Amino acid sequence: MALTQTSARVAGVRTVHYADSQDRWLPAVMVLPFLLAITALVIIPLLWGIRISFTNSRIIGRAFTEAFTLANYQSVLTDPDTWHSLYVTAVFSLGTVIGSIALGLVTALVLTRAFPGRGIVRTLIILPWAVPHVVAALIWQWMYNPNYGVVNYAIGWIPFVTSQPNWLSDPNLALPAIIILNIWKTYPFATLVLLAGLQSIPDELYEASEIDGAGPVRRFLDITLPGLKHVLAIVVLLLTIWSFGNFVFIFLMTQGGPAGATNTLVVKVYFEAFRFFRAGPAFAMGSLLLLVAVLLTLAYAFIVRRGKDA
Amino acid sequence: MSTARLEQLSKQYDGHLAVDRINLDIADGEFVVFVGPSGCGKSTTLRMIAGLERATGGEIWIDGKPANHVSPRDRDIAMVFQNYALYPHMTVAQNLSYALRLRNWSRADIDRRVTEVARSLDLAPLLHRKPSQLSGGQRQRVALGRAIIREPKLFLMDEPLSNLDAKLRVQTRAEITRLQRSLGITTIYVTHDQTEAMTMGNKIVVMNGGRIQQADTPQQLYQHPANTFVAQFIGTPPMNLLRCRLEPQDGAIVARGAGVNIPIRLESLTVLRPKVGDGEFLIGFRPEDIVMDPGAAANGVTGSADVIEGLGHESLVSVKEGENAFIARMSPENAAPIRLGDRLSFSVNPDRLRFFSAESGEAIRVP
Amino acid sequence: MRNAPSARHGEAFLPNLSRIAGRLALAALILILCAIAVFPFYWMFVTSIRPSGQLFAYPPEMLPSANSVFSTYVTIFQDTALGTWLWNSIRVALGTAILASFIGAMMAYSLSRFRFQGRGFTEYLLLATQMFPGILLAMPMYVLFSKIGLLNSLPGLTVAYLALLVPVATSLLKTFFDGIPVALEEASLIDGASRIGTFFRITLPLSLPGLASTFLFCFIIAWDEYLFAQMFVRQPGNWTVSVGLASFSGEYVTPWDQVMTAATIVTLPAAIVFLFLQRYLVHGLTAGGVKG
Repeated sequence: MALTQTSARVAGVRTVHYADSQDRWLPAVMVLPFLLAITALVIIPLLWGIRISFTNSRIIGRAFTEAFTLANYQSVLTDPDTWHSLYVTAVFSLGTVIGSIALGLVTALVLTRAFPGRGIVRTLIILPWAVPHVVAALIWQWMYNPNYGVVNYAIGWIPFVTSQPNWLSDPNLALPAIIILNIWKTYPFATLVLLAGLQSIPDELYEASEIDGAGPVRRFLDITLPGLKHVLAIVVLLLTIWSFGNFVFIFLMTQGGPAGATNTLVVKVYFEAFRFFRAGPAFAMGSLLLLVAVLLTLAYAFIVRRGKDA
Repeated sequence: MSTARLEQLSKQYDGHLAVDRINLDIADGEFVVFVGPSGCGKSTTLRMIAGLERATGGEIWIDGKPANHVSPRDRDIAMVFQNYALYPHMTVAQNLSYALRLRNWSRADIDRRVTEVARSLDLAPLLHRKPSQLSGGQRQRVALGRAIIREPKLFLMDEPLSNLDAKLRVQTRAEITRLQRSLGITTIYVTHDQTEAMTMGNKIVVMNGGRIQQADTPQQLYQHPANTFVAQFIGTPPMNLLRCRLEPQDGAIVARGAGVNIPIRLESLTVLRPKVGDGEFLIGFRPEDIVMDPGAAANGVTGSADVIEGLGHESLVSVKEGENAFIARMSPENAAPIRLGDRLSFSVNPDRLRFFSAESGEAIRVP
Repeated sequence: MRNAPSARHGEAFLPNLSRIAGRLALAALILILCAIAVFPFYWMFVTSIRPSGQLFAYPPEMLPSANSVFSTYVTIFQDTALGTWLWNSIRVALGTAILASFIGAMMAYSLSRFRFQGRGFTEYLLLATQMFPGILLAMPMYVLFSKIGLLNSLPGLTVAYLALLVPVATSLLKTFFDGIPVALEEASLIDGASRIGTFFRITLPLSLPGLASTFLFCFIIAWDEYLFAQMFVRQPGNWTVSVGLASFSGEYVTPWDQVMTAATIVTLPAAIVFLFLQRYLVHGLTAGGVKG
């Protein structure tokens, strides 16, 4: 990372260069701790993990023979459980993205209106985002309690419904239950970003289309949605990335069960390594996930940059 | 009291030359204005003089000493920035005294000097306000105060008026000029506004494409532009430039082109003839240097009225003929009868004719 | 004729009756949205002050019991190791937040002000490390830490968290530094300050709000973190609150009053910090992409 002698305008921020002796060494000193930390704590571990994925390592942390092998990748890619986990992960992410954006958009649209107490409502809406993940999992576990939980109590109010579902133990309900928790945790973020997006749409556009005779629905479709295109793309990608990597909720609520119904890729990787002691396949899967994460991040960076240019 | 000298000064950014080998001498007490379109290198030049940018070639001399490797704080300069760059977390008084505090002045001296400067700039009632509580004009005065407070060798000003509204700009223009003349401090001022340049500077440096086009007094710049860029950059409306060739007519030589038929003096021809031969060249004159004259059809410039703009105290009439077009400045009374499409003829003051090469745009000076 | 911003998406010309109906519908919608956001918190608190005998009543009581007990907030510190876990979390979170803000501040300043090769890659790396699923980093780091004996210790966890928080701090602070005009620093240099003097007299005071928010945000992320904490630290005495809290559930009978009491205690600092920082968060998230 050699310092060049030039300076220029980058992304609207002027970089500076001074004819001052401190300039020769100061930047290097300021960048060094970051480089050390990231190299030691991010780059080396990631490379190390990729290396392990090509060995016959079994128990995590134990010695392994150095022989290069593709067996781990073969076993991961031929394991039907992997493909099932991919499906679970996709449903979990998609469900979260759709639910979170729908709830977030409704909330954001309500918050663009002037009503007494709007500031307080806006603050209350942020609360789910602020709560620690473990706490959120525990609260919802308690609410989903089959015998004493409020969720089943509320269901009892619905006419003709008598069942008392065992949310987290029913293979059909466990994944939706955790998706609902994840929606609840993430929709404040969607709300705030979409709200910022809505507020950036100039009032003149609404006025112009009103003069042109557009009704509320047309105005939403023709002005609001196109105006939100960029922030929506950002929210979709961030929610996908976060859901894709979510470990805590599933680990605490169902441990991937019942019968693998909530066994997302991330949870599967963890159990491969720490419950079944198959470190090789775990790292092979991890490396594949890393590839997916890199692609998603590149997509995100691309969208953010395109938004800045626009 | 101080001088500055730029020798072959250059600045290269990623392979592109922002400032291209410029040479300039700035005398003690001079008010030098760098003017040019945006991206012409004027601000980069100023920032190199300040030490905020490193020169990639050439030398800067301040007071006869090489300054390239002197850090900004040791150059003894003061600068007024375009957005004023007032320290937002400090009061006006603290902003003013910052440089003095860094130089370890005593409390009493600082207080005395701050009071002095505040009085001269009418800032006394604002000393305890933060910059965010000031109007644009007030901020501008604080920025000026911060510059003059320690009586530097050089004042540098980077478009200091561009954020003010039109009326305040005219006021402050006069204020800065008065201040500079009374303090006598050598000043380098950057602007893209040629009116500012013409009204403020004793010497104006017109830049374009990283090069100095002309460095001269306002009068010389207006009357004897060194090339077509300067001719068109200085003056509103710009100098008229018409394409023509030398042709014989009735035993004399005239410059003839679309709508142009101007006799050229013999002594001018001795210089012009060898330079242009039979080829095209540009003839130039200011809009105020022609007079409507129906009899000048065969002896001046002619064309049809294209646009008429009344400005109240004067009128500007745009005239077109073929590839050539020019603007005439006249009194509203003279312009009143003119209708669009009317054929108009003007006689040209022969002393004010200028000639430029059609290829290079360089002026051809004639006696 | 628009008379209020509220007409923006809607029904400026609607007749009176349907306008009143619309108002009511909006009010109902607002109430429902508030309930969605707030009810779980309400339920957490109500459970925490319920006498343990009434926990498993059915139907559950919606209102706080008449004989609510706040004693759980005291006894939980005697009956469980919550106090120790809180203290562990505070130490780890403080340690990482200080280190990450410090390292991040230097890097962010360099990214904002200097130009060097590898800038684009560094900015991608910043983004990527905040986006990658934690497990991808946690597993190999676990292997490496086990080799050098950093497992099962709070300092070890503190170091591991730097991997998560240095990028967060750097991105957040870069947006703050970008917001401080370079001209202010240039003015200071011309006024006679050195580069370092300028940093302390101009840049630092102006970036204090940014530094404070970054510090708090890092603190809360470390406070919240669960995956690394439960992988890296096995002895209960070294657990952080999130691991300790999670250990409550999964036992045969979960003492929900205690769990919810502890949950309330753990939530408070996080909620306060979030509310305090809310205006910075959206900007930081969309500009740099910060883990939520």
